[in-house]
Amino acid sequence: MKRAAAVFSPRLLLHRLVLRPLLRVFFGVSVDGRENFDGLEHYILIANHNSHLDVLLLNYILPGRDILRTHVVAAREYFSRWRVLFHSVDYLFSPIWIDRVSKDSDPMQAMRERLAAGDNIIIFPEGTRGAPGEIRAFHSGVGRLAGEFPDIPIIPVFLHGPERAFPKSGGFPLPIWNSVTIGPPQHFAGSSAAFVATLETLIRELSGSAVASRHRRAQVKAPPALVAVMGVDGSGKSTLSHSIARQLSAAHEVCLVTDGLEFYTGGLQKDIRPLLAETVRQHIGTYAKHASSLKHYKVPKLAELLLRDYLLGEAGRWYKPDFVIQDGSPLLNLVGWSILYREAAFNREVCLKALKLLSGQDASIRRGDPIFQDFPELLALKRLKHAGMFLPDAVIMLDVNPQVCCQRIAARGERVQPHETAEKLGKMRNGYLRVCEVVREDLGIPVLTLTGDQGMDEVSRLALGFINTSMAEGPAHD
Amino acid sequence: MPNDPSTVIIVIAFLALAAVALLRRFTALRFPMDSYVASLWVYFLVFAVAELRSLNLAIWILAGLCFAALREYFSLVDIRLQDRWSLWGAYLAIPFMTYLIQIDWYGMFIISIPVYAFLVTAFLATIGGGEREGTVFSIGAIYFGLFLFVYCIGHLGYLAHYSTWLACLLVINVVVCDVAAYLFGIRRKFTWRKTLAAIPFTVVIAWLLSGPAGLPALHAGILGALIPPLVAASRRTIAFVETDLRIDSEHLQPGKGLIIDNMKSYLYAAPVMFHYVHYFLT
Repeated sequence: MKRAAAVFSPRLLLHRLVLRPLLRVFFGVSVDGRENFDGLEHYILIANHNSHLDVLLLNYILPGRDILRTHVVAAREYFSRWRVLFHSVDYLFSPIWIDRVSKDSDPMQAMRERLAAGDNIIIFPEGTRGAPGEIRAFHSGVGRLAGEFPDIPIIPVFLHGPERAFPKSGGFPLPIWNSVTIGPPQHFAGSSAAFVATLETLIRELSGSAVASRHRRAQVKAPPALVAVMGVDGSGKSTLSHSIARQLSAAHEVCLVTDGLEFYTGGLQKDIRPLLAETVRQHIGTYAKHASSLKHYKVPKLAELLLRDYLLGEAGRWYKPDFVIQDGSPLLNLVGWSILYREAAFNREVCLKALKLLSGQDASIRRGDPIFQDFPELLALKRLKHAGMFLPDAVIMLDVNPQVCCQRIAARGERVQPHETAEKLGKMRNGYLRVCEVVREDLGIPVLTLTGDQGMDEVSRLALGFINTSMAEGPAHD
Repeated sequence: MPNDPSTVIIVIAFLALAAVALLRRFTALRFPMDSYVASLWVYFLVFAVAELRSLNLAIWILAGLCFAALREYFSLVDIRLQDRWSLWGAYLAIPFMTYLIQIDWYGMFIISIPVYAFLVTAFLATIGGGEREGTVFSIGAIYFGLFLFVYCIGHLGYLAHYSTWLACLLVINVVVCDVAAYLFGIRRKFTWRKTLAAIPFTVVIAWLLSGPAGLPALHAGILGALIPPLVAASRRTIAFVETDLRIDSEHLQPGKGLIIDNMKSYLYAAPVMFHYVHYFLT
């Protein structure tokens, strides 16, 4: 009697006569590995999660007898934003609602009760929908649940297609085939962390074959990683950036932006096609170096810095290097320099605002902000639409005593520039250190501060080690 | 009614297809072109509906076939997230074109996809996001699918509009070419022998069907001789496309190349035959 009632339940009919045919006709579903359900009454389904379609697809592959007693774990606060959606999802799938906002109830308890009552559950161990085509690290909950119910096997499922048919940021569903690959049932073994790792590997393996056989257009090379070497004049930053560029180029293609534009590959410098912006910059740079006073120095130097920043984009575009090493970051220099002109107004907050403004992250800064009164140049730059300068992905700060720097500059025997006095270099050093602090603590960009006492070989060894570790996870702007 | 030649042929075709299905079901006999036979059921359904029920309904069934093929193609090709609007436009081009066939507006049908759908899908590829890298690839890939799987197959529908038997003649001749391609030599490889071997059969079939199709015998013969080279050309082209789309021709599955593979022989022959008939015979 109960069985007959179940067959004619309107919910079941909706699944069989509406949802499943709709999925089939509109999206298209192909299923591999249905035999993995054979002989299983009681199980936990786990799958990767990219799309709202995932729940529908997992219900699609269930054996008919299990539709009514299989419950997906879903976030209540997400679905309760739309009443109609909430009630239809609640009716069709009778999910186990968990509340991610309030922490007082244990979400695992509801799952335990369902499993103990003989029902099946569907879990997305990634917790939430990831970026299209990406599998995030699994949460540990599945492992604990499996440990508590070692008799219930876990069936790993890989869904391929929903991330294109109805992606998270897609807005509307499109007819694109979905393929569902069902893996062999897994029984709990070892520790719960190890078991979760096994499941994650399994789903990644299932994904491997499906994704590898996809058509791909040529991969676009990722933008180069920007490494800025900071320091006052005479601190040895040019020498250090040359040395870094040469050594990094053993395994990568490296572009060095210093007084000239240089390209290194295989440990050697290579001739490159000249860029117009670079020629212009060199002329302006020479002009700035011969300025007689700080006042005359300011404008050409600013122009030189802006061109230098523009060059970073150009170098990435034309030479496609893996790394761009900057002998002084235009953005950080510009901000650090303001200490020379308006020391009184220079503080941490101003520094952060200026960095954000100049790097184009200025959504939170209003037109009437006091910073524009203190530094009218910022407003001019913003109006010129030049507020999109490059923030480096890693910064190396050479913190050398200004007295030593002055001696080195004097030893070069070149014309001394107006700002190259121990007093001004001292101020700039403080400005740069302040900027680096803000960069590290507020913007989260790795910064390495070196005193330069160890000798150039040791300094460049430390710098290389720093670049390798901080770039291991890829550039910060990804 | 039984004296009507259309009904008789439809019944014969149905019996033949049913016999194949029964043999498959109840014997160990396995046909190498399982899904191919399934695709013949679709064409059979289209013609049977057109002859016995309603031409318009048949044309819309064909539109469903276009949709299935286009969807499969879009599932295989690498599209960017921001091309979604363009895909949406491409899908909408199917009812647009089908409606033009239904109301028999030749002038508009012939530019529906090459002009309007082309311009609109290209524009739609720019509104979904600001990424400019890969635009040419995306527009090209989307339009290529739209043209082959919607526009070319749409010509088969318009051919049925002229006469169901013309469309039927095309399908039967393409089947003959496919069988010849299968029997002579290695599969998938283009040879002149394979191409030419089918010509005597296609000419004879075209001549036999020229009566109900309303074709003069000479034109029927020319069309019959034209079809095998066209089929060979489209089979070769789509074989290259399939390799690039990573379609595993040994393990075809719905959604992974099966529909495209079964449709590939019609893609060149349908528009050429349609234009031949339109130019010489209307």
